[in-house]
Amino acid sequence: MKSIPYTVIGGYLGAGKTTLLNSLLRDSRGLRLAVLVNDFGDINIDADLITSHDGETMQLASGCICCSLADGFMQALARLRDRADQIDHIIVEASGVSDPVKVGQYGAILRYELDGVIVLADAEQIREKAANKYVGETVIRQLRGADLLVLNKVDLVTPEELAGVHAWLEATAPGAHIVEARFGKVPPSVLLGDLADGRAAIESGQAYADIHTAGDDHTDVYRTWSLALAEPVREAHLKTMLDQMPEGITRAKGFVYLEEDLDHPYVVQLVGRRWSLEKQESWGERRPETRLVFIGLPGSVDEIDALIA
Amino acid sequence: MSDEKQAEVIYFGGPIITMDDDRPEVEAIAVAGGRIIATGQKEYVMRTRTDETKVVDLAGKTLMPSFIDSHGHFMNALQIVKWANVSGPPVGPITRIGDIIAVLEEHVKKHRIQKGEWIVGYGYDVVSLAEGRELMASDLDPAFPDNPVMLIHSSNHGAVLNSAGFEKVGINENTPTPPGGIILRIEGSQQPAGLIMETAFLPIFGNMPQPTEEELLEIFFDAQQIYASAGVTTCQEGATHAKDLRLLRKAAQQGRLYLDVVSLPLIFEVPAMVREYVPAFTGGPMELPDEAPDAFGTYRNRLKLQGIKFAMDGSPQAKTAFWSESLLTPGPGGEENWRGQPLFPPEQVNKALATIYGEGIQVFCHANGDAAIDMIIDGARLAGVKAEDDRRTVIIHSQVMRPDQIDDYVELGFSPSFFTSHCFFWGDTHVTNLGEKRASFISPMASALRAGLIFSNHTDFSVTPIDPTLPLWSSITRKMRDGNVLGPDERVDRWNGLKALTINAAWQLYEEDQKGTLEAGKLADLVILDANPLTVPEDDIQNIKVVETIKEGVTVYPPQA
Repeated sequence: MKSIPYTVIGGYLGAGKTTLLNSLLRDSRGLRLAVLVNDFGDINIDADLITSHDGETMQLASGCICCSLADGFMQALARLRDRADQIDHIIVEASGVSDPVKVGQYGAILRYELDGVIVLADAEQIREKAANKYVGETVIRQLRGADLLVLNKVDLVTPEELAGVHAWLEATAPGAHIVEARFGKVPPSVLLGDLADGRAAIESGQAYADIHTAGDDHTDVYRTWSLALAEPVREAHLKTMLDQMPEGITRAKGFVYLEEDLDHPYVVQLVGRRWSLEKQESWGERRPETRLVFIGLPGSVDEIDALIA
Repeated sequence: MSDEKQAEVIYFGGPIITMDDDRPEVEAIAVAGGRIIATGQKEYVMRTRTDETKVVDLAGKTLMPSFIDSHGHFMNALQIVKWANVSGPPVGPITRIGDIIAVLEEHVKKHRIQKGEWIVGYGYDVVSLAEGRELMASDLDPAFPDNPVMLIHSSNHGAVLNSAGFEKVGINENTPTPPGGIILRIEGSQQPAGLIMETAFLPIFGNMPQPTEEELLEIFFDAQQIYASAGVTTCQEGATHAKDLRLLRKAAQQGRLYLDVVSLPLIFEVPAMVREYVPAFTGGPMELPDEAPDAFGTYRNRLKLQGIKFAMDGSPQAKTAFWSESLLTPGPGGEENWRGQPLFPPEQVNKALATIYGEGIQVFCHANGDAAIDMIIDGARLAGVKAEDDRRTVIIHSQVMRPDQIDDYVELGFSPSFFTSHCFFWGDTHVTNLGEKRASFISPMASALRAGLIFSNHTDFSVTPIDPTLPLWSSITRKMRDGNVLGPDERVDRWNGLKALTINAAWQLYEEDQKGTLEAGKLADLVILDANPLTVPEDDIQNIKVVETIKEGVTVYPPQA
C-alpha cells in the first residue's frame, strides 16, 4: 500500500474545525482529500458538487470524499485502504473533546503517515474554555499536543486581547507554532503542504513565491521559500536548524544531501514543531543535492536565512 | 378473582417469592394466557384449577419473577455465542493452560469449525493461569496447527494468537510495535510470542471477518438462551447502533425473539434510525423530529425502543472515566494528576438533553465518574427536570459517586442502575486508584435506598456474565476477590438486592405494571431456582442454578424440542 499522509484537525467545540474542513472540501487545489468527519450534518457542500452520497461516504466532483466516523474511527480509516490509490491526503476531524495526538497515533497504527496535528483555538473563547471545570484540562492537552496551532477568529478580539492570547498560549503551550486565521481560513498549502505550488517551488528552486495572494484580504500572505544546496550538509547542523525553526514557519518539505551518508537522499517533512527525516533508497539518476521548500510568514522566512547562514 | 378464571398451570410446593413488598411470599400461583391470574394461599389459588390444569409441585424449589437485565449489551450475545469462554472462575472454567486447549477442542467440535476457520475465545487473562505466565502461540500450535486462534483478553484490549493466527493477520518478526501497543516477543528474538495488546490489537480485531446478516439471524435462538439459562427474560441492548437496530427489527419481524429485548439507540445514531420511521426527517445528530417519541415505548414483536443512550465517560478500571478529583495513580498514558475527561463537551450534552427531555423521551446515561455525573445533573437542571415529572432518567453505572450526588438524584428523579459486581471484579483496582474512601462508595446502594431512590443492579453483559446471582451476591456482601469487604456500609439486604434485579428494573423501563412481581394481571415471566436466594448461605448464592425459565407462560429454558 502506498503511504498516505494523514493530518488531524483538533480543537475544542466551536473553534472552527468544521468551517475549515468545509473550505478545504470546497477548494482542495487539485488534491484528492479524504475528509473524515464526526457529523455529516455540519458539512455544507453545494448539492451540485456532490456526485454520490450513500450515508457513509460523500463523493465530490473534485475527487475529494467525505466519510462519516459514525461507525467507528478505526473502521472508517481501515475502509479508506481500499481506495488508497484515489487519495492524496487524509484529514481526520478529532471530536471536540478528544486528544488529537491520540487520534494521530491511531492513524499511525494503520500505517498511514502522520503529517501533522493541527489544533484550532478560538481567540475569543480559548482562555475561558481552558478554565472550564469539566473540559479545561482537555482543552489545554489539545493545545499542548499541536504541531501547528491555528488561532482562529482573531478578528473578534482587539489587538491588545490578541497579544494577551499569544502570551497566554506561549505560557500554556510553550513552543507552539501559531498561525492566525479569520473565518477558519488557512491556505491549504499551509495545512497540508503537499501542493502543486510547493512541488513547483522545489522543482524550480525559485525563492520567495507568494502562495496566497490577492482575492482574500482576510488571510495573511504566506510565502514559499526554497533552498538549494549542492554541497552536502552535516546532519547535526540540519537537525539544529529544524529544531530552531522560527514559529512563523508552518511547513518545510524536500530532500537533503547528508555529509554522513552521501549515497542516500533523506526526505525532510516539517509541520510546525514536528519534523521527520527519512532515508530513501538511492539518488538514482538524480544529482545529489539538498532542495527544501519552506512555507511561512514573510518575516519568518528572513529568520531562516539567518539560520542557514 | 372472578369465578370464570381457569388456570392452565398452578405452581405450589416451594417458596414462591413475589417481590411484592406488601406480600413477599405466597403459597401458590396460577397462570393462564401468558399472565398470572391468581396468587395467594394454595386453597384460594386452587379454585382456578380445572380438569385441564397442569399442577406443578415445586418440591421445595423456589419460584420468583424472572430477572430483568437493567443494563447490558444484547448484541454481544450474538458475538460470544460463537466464541469459546476461556475465562477463569467465576466467569469461566480456566485455571491452567491445559484447560484452555480442552475448552477450545470442545468448542471446535460443538461448532463444527473447519480447518482454516478462526477459533475465537474470550476472557483470557494470565491471572487465571496456575502457570503464572502468559499463554504462548507455541502452547496452542500443537493442537491447532491449521486454524487461526484468537483468545481475546478479559479487558477486550488485547488477545493471544497462535502461529496460524499471526500468519493470517500478517504479524511477524518484522512487524514494528506500534506506539501505544504491545507485541510480546519470544526472548532473544523478534518473533511474536502470543500476546498483543492495545494499538497492536485494535486494528486486527477491527478487521476480523464479520458474520453475514443471515448467519446472525440464525444465532438469535442461541443468543437468547444465554439469558434464558440465567433466568433472564427481558434483555437489554444498551448501546444500539443503527445497523444493529436493523438486524434486531428483522429478527423481531421474523418472529425470532422469544424474550423481550429493550433497545437503547445511541444518541448519535438516533437521526438515522428515526429516518427509518420518519423518512422525511433531515436533522443532524443532536436533533430529533417531532415524531421521534412515537418510535419509543412500545414492544413490537418483542422489541422495544425505550430511551436514548448517551455515554458521558469511559470506565474507571481503564481510567477513562471522568472524576472531579485526580486519581492516586497516573493516567492511562502515564499522565500526572489524571482525572479523566468527558466524552462530550458540556455545551453538546446540555443541548442534547434539552432536546431529548423536550421530546419526552427517556434518557439512559452512562456515567461512571462523579464529574461525568455532575455534567448530567447540570444538563437536567438546565432542562428544568424535576423529580415530580417522573422522567426516570437512568444513570447507568453511577459507579464512583459522591455522597452529595445522592441528593441531586432525589431532586431530579434520577434512578441509578448500579454495577455492584465491580467490588469483586475491580475492587482492588479501585482502591489503588481512588483510595479506600472513594472506592468504598462505588455503587452506593444502601445510601440510595436510605434516600428513597429506586435503583437497579446490572451485569453490563458481556463485560461480566449475565447470571444475576453475581450482582445479587455482590450487592449484599460487597466482597472483593481477596474476600475483604469494600464499603460495608453500602451493603443491602437480600430483598432489596433482589428488587434491584426484578421490580426496580421493570420500573426503570416503565414496565412495573407488567413485570417484576408476581401479582395477578402481570405477565407470567417466571424463574424456578434450585435454592431460595433469601435463605441459602450467603456464599452459596452464586451456586444457585436455574431449573426452568418461563416467558409469558411458555418454557424458554431448558429449550423445548
